[in-house]
Amino acid sequence: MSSKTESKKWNMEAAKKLFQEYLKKSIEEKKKEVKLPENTVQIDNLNRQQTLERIYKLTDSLIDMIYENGRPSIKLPSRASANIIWDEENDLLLLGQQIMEKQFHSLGSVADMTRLMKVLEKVNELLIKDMHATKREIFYSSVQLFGDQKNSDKCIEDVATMLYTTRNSTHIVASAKGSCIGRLRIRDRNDIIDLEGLGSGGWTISPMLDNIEILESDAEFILVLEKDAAMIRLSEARFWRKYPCIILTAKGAADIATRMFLKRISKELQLPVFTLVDSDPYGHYIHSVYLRGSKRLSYESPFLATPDIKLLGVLTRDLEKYKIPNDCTIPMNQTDIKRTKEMLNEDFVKKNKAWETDLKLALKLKVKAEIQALSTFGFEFLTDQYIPEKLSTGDWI
Amino acid sequence: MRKRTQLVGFEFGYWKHQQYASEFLDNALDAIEEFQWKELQEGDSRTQFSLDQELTLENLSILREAKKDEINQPLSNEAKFALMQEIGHAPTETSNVEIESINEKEDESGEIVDKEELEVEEEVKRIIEDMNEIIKPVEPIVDLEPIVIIRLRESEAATFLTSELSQKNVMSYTFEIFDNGIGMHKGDMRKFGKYLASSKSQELKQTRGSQGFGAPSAFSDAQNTTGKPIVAVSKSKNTIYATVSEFFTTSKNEKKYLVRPTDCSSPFLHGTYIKLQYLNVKYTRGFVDTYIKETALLNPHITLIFIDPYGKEWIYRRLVSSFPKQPKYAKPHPSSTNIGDLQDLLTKSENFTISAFLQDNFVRLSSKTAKEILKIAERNLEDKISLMILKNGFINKLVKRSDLIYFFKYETRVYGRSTKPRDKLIIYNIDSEELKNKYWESMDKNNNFDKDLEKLYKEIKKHRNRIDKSETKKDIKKIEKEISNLLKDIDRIFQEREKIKNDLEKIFKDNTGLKEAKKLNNRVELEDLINEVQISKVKPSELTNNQFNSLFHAFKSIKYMSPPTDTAIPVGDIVLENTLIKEIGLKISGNIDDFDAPIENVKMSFDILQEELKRDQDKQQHIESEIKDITLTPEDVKNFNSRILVSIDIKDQYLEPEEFQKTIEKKLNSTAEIQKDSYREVFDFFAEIYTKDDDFVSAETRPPTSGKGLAYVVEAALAYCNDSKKLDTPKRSRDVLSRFVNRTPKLRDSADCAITKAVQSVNWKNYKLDVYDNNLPKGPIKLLVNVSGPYVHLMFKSQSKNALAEDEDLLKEIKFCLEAIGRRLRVYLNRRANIRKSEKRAGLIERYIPIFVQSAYNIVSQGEGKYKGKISEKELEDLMRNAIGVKVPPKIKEKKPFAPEKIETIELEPKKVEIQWEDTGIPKKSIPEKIKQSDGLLSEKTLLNWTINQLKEYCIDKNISLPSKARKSEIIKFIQEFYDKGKPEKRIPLDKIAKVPLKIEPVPPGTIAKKRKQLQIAMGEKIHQQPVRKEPTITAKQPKPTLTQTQLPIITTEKILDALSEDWQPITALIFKMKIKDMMDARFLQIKLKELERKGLVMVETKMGKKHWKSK
Repeated sequence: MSSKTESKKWNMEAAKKLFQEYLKKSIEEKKKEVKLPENTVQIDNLNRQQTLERIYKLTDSLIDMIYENGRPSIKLPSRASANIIWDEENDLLLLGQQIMEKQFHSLGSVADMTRLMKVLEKVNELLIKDMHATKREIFYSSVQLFGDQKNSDKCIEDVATMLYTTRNSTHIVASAKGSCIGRLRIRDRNDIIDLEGLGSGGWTISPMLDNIEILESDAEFILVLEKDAAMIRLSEARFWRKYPCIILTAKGAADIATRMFLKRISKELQLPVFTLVDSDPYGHYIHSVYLRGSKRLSYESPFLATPDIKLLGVLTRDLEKYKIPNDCTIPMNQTDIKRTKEMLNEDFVKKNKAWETDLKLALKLKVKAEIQALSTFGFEFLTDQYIPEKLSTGDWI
Repeated sequence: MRKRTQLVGFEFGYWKHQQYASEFLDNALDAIEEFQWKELQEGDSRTQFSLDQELTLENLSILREAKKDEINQPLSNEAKFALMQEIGHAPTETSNVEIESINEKEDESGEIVDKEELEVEEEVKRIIEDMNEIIKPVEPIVDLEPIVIIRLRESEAATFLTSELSQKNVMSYTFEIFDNGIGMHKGDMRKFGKYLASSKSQELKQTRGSQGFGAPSAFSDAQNTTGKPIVAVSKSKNTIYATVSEFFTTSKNEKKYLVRPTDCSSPFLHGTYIKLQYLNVKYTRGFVDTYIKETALLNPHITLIFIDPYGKEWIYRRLVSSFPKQPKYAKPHPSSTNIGDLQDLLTKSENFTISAFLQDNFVRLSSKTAKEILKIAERNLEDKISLMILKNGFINKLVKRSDLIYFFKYETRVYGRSTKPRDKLIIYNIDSEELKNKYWESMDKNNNFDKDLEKLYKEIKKHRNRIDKSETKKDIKKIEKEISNLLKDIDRIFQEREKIKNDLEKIFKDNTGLKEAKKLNNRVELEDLINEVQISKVKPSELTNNQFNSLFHAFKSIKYMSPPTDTAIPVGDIVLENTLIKEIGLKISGNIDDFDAPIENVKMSFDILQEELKRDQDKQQHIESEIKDITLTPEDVKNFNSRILVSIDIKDQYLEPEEFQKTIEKKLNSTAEIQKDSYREVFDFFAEIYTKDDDFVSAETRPPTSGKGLAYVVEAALAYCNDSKKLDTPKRSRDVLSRFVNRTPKLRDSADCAITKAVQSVNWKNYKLDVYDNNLPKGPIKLLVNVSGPYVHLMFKSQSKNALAEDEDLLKEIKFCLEAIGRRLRVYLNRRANIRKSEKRAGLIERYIPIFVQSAYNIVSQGEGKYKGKISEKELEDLMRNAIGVKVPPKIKEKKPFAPEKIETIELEPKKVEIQWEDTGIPKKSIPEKIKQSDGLLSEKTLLNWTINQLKEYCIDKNISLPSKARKSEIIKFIQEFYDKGKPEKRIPLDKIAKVPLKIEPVPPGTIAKKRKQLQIAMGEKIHQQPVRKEPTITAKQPKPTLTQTQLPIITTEKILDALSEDWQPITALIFKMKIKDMMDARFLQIKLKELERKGLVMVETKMGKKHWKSK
């Protein structure tokens, strides 16, 4: 670490202010429950026993139907995009109340029904034994029946909606790829892990979050990075030492475990969350996924989304502000432009004027840039100048 | 010698065999029909064909019989008697007489021997023996059954005949045909064989042949190729003996007899037998046999037997028990009359005036039109002869001023030898200059008009030529408009000319200035001209050439009404369908008819039962002779109905008598209308199950049309067979389509025919049928198209009468007809595809069952559900497997029309599977159930359907106070008032409305049914605790309609709403449900649906690009 950079320390004024606000708000918020709009489906986060009960209830009703006319059928909320509703009040994507019925005695859904039943059987087994399995494991439990992992993945999600619960409650986990580092101490079953002392690699986020207990933290904010490369840069600089924070990354698109973990720590610790993504539509999309959930898993958004997350950078306006040379930026191609336009059509973007302006600016300039573009001013620029400056001045969206 | 064979084209080739068959078979069929019709007209006829008997000809073999005859003696009277009894005809008195009379005949025929030469006698005997060979086997039925027998035998042709032809495979054929038709008496026989001596050409009717070319041409060909005479035996009902003759026809259209018409006895009462020999190439199958087969198809009222040269017998027995209607005699229509016909008719005419002649001989020719024709003809003549008819005389039309003006006038004078005054034509010269000037003034005007007219005619001609050249319809229309404008101009000119005539009349009002021309050289000529111009006064048979031409011109220039259509007699769609079913052996559920009946009989079951009991009692009365009162309790009716329903078994599922009894019990209080509906649904369901393996047959008869002076009917039938043994996809496209004209099959020139063209013009792919390269439909199908009408011979392309000429209207008619059938076929094929799909589905679903059950079982056995340890995998698997392919039977649900006051909370509806998470304690949000409007408010209509008792009950239920002696209408009023007042009260929280749908499920077998009941109780369903039942309404789960389309649909909003169910349905389903046949109606339905959609009465969803509707 060079002495030059050490000379200037940013006061992080804005970030601290936000942190205070959050603390204040959390005290108020504890009083009132989050109310979901009328026309959406209520999804519950259940414990093992509750989930099991729901499974038995469902199975019983199926057998009832078999006894009645030999034609079992399952009703579950439709996950078609038409049935996904953006809840403006809570800033969440939620499932509407369209119900679809899958009938066993119909050519179109007999396979689906059988697969659902298989997954349900596996979930039952997992819950009884209190074990977790990955999607891949479920697929391999009956490769012949599922045919393709796409089918089993779909069924896993269907089973969750069918039981009106979260994916996590079914004990089927996605292999987590995210990692976390910083000022946080957690307990994983019997092991106490200090995320400060794990070297430069950090702690790999466990998909079995129900086993994780958050012990303590003195961080003031959480920084979510899009890429591992930025993570390496920050961990090498021991960024959290200088500015108390928790850094995590999903190494690309956000997986469930990472999102859930982020949600968990931000909620429990009441910390402001900032994302640092590439200045391209894909980066903005990743931010939006952290913000309000993906469409595919919309039914779980209340358990995955972190609505108060701030987009720290890299903003399109930063490209001008920091005078990033043209040879470090990449011109947008057709798909980028299309994606940007799609983003602009989203309700939650339209509501956030600053975000909308920034995307429009990107569309106007037709350039995109990665986080690494900042390295043009030296590798330390990101840790010593860019992030601290933005956090201090409150230059985020 | 002129080669007369060219007339109808008898040429060597396979077709020649068929040509012989067709020429004589057509005549035979006509003769048979003629006979039957005549007999029917007579009313109390004893000789008409009795068509009630069911024919069993399976064991009939003419060949076998013939062989037997060689050994045995011909049947004795007793044997004949026995045989007749065997067939089921206890001999009536007439037939006894008949046998006796035959005996008599034989006695009498003995006398002939003395009179005729022995040689002739021998010849006659031989002929009769030959004839008997084919008639003997059918002798018992020969006078009862309309029958045609054709036998074709082959023999080596004499070398001296074939050498000339230098063809090896030329054989000599003996052709014999027998029909038991009207027969000919001696006078007819003399004419028989001469050209144009047909008895059928006298009157124009819908017959097969009419001109009298066929048989004579065949005769000439026969004798030209073999040099052998023709044998004819014929007997009419009124003669005792049959007439036998053997003859040659000559080039002078005369006959040369070898055996003069001789009386002899015959085994039949009436009929004709022809035998002739001809040379032709070796017989192969596929020509005559096809012809006869197809003839049999469209003439199912006649038994056809054909014995081919290989000794195979083709027997087509009669399939229907009634003859077609006799076609009416049809006068020719002016539009279809050509100049020759008119000339013929005129020369034959015995009328005194043209007007009478026209009215007598043509259809659609009133006295008014006749007058019009004459007026035009006269005008035409005036121009031609340059004479003008004035009211008081005639004047010549002149162009040059130097010509002399004559004025002609009839005056009553005494002249010649007679002393009485008579009309005399006086010719005047114009004397005074004043008159002359006036005349010329008018005449100049007239001449100018004439020039204008000529110009206009020329212009019209030009325009007509332009029409021929122009391509787009728009252009043609434009030109036609111009022409019509020109025609208006012409009319105006004619009017002007009439005015001039009037002027001239005034000029020559009196004789002033006229000078009688007494001595004229050309007086006779002028008199002739005067006579000629007065066409209306000439006798039709004495028309001059000029007059005739003018008449024909006028005759053709008038527009006539279309000819009447009652002269065209179709075969009939039902007959066609039945024939196809029987002929091909299609599998069409006979049960469908049974299903039609009960729907109508629902109301009657009470009566039926009553009758039944009565009958029983009657029987008992005979024995015990005591009278009982017939009492019928509702219970009896119930039992009776259940008995009927239970007797219907579907595959291996049974309806439980008790279950049905329950249903009926419930329905007993409801109105007849609702009873009918609910039964209909049940029957629809059964019908569908029954008919799912059916083949398809559909026939369509268009209403008669008349265009261009011809009245005709188009009909078509199409059979689709699933059994490839019965009917396979033909390899050649021409085998798909059978063309008929007046029931006569047309085998040749198929590509040229209008029928083929029309079939090709149909877009068969629309109707789910494959097509050949030439766009004829392809598949296991048989398509028949028949065009019938009295004037079809005018619609043919050529004299060979094999192909119909393309006429726009005809093509359109055939196309419409086929499209109507196509629509039905599409419905059938779609349904079949669905059935196939569900069969496929069954297999697929079955594979998944064990996996599914295994998973479910594992969950249950590991968990703590209520079924733990109570289920077995096999039981579940069986239950699910049994449900495969079973259509969900219509559930007769009972909806209470109104929410009762006492609030019952029934959490779970048995049908809807909703998972309730009571344990989690989290407020559950379920979909709010839709409020049905009908639950709240009862319309006046429904109330009116109720009985007074029901209404009263209802009122008590709702605490509506009623005066004790209220009438029905009053009660309804009260209820409605109550509604108005009590509206806010009625807002009962949704989840508290108890809805207990009652289901009657006829399917499950005993043990499971019991188990199910337990389950229902376990689930807390309370069937018996339901409050007082009100008017039940019935909804069925999309009962698919059957193939029968009987009623014409009336598309009303109510009907549409009726047709809509709780399932999504495309418009095709609705069309079928509502029995819509016509395209226009279907359009209307579409419009109506849109309207309903707008009003929000129905729900719409678009699935796979097609709109689906369902009721709200």
